[in-house]
Amino acid sequence: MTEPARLHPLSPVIRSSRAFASLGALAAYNIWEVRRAGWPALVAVIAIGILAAGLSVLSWAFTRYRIDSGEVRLDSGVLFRRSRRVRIDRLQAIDIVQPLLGRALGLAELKLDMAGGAEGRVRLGYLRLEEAQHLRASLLAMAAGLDHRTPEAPQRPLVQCSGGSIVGGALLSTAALFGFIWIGAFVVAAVASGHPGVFAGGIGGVVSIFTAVWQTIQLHFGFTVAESPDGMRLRHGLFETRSQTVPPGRVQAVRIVQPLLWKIFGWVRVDANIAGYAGHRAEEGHQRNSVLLPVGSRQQALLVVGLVLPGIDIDAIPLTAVPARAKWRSPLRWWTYRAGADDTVIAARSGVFTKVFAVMRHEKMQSVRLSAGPWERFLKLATVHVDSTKGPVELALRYRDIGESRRILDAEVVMASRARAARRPDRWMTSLTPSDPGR
Amino acid sequence: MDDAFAPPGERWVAVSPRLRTMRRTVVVVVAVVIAAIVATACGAAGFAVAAISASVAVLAVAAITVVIVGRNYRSWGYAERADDLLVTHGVLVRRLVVVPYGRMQLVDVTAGPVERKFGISTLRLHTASAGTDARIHGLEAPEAARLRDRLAALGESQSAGL
Repeated sequence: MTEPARLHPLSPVIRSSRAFASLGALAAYNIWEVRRAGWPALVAVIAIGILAAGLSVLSWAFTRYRIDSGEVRLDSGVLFRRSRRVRIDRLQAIDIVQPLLGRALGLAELKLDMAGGAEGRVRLGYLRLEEAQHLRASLLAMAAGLDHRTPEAPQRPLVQCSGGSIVGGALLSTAALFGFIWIGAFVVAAVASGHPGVFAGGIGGVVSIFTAVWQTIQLHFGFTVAESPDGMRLRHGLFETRSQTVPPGRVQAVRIVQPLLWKIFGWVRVDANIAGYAGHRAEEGHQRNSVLLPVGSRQQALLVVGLVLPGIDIDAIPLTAVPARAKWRSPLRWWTYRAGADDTVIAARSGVFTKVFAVMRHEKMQSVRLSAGPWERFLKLATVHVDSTKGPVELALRYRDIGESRRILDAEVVMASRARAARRPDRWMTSLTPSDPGR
Repeated sequence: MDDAFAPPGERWVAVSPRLRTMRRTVVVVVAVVIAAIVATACGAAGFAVAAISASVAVLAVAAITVVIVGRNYRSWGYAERADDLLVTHGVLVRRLVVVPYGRMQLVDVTAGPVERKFGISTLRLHTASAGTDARIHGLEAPEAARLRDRLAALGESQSAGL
């Protein structure tokens, strides 16, 4: 379909910019710190810099990509050649990522996520932004079973998070709360002991907490959720912007989370398991990409969940409590467990401080497990786990009556099998005939 | 109460008794070796009573383990249904996992050196979920091969996209 193409010639610049920035900082520090050793250090840093730049130019020169017969192919490697192909109809998500320098130069990286984690990920970086958007549109069209010249599907904005709620949400997170308590404790200690040095000692402990809070803010700033026939579009980022597209049916499970202090403003977060996003580094895979709504009202959360589970009223799922004897198994939390299922989904709610509501379509179930420890069997209780792909959402129906648990397990197996038989095709714009076998 | 872990049909398919034999053999060999080393060490140092009591203690632990191995062996079972495979195991913590054939990503048959000596192997089912804990220990080689091929064929024909 296309000839093998090169990535943008400025790609090596962006690729090595971060390394250069840290090398520069290191050099500056060295020169400033040890004046006498300044020159040799500077020369060494420049030499390393030139070498690194040379290598990334070389690696760019040996990289080609092409889109052909339903596949994206990326050939790379100077000494060890590597050819990676991904099937477009197996696409789980497409992201366009623009780091700060990329935004200045008008370049973006296209990330194609397949199931199977980091091994199944292809990164085309960097391309001109329009080129990346065009490529995304044609890949999505092909994945949907349409002609690749189909123009980009229109999108309808659904939810936009204000900057205030993103910052507020991060500052009211449980981690930040511990940070504030920590600082408070050291202020009190400093005042009580009369040594300001005590306060300085406490600062070190909170730096990492607030670094994480700052990163959350920077990552989610300007979060927008939009709806399009190609699926769900998420855009966010303060410096590095990221535009994610999750095609229909690719979300495996969702959860609505409410940390303790968010209750004040009625805020909630929506997370999802998406097969393509799992298996990367925990930070990148789970926190960066799995958030469908970082902070929003319950109505907004319902809108977002409605995109993922169309036509399902999650408040109408009949949830039931666990038997009172579960207090002997889980004295602090037994009264928060609620779980239930209807014809299309299975759901569970739990949590004393941080409340979590997880829900999953029957057809997305990978396996079901029933387990009961000795104490649980004495109490005639058991737990049913409905396994989803890797991700933040975990669905467990805990501490229910042991006989009921087995009935839930058996019913889940039957409903999942029925739902799989009636599922929509992978190529979501083709007619609703059963997809061909082997897919 | 164990009704909750009852087989779907008449009874669970048991795994090969060779698994029990293998595990018991391993336990006994390890226990004898440890007892011998401990006894020799204590004996060489001149503590005859310590040597005897330590050996007895090691062998007693081994005897208990042999009983536990037997109970654990009996807890293993699997059942093939039209659309899914069920596996159960565990004495203290009872477990039951149901894996639809259409959800299987790959089937793995492995046999370590000791398992090979006893002519058995372990079959593992992988799905797209990390939580799926479906493995069957102690399948005799022909049964493992049959099950693997059947599961692979069924997985192929019933495969559903994620």
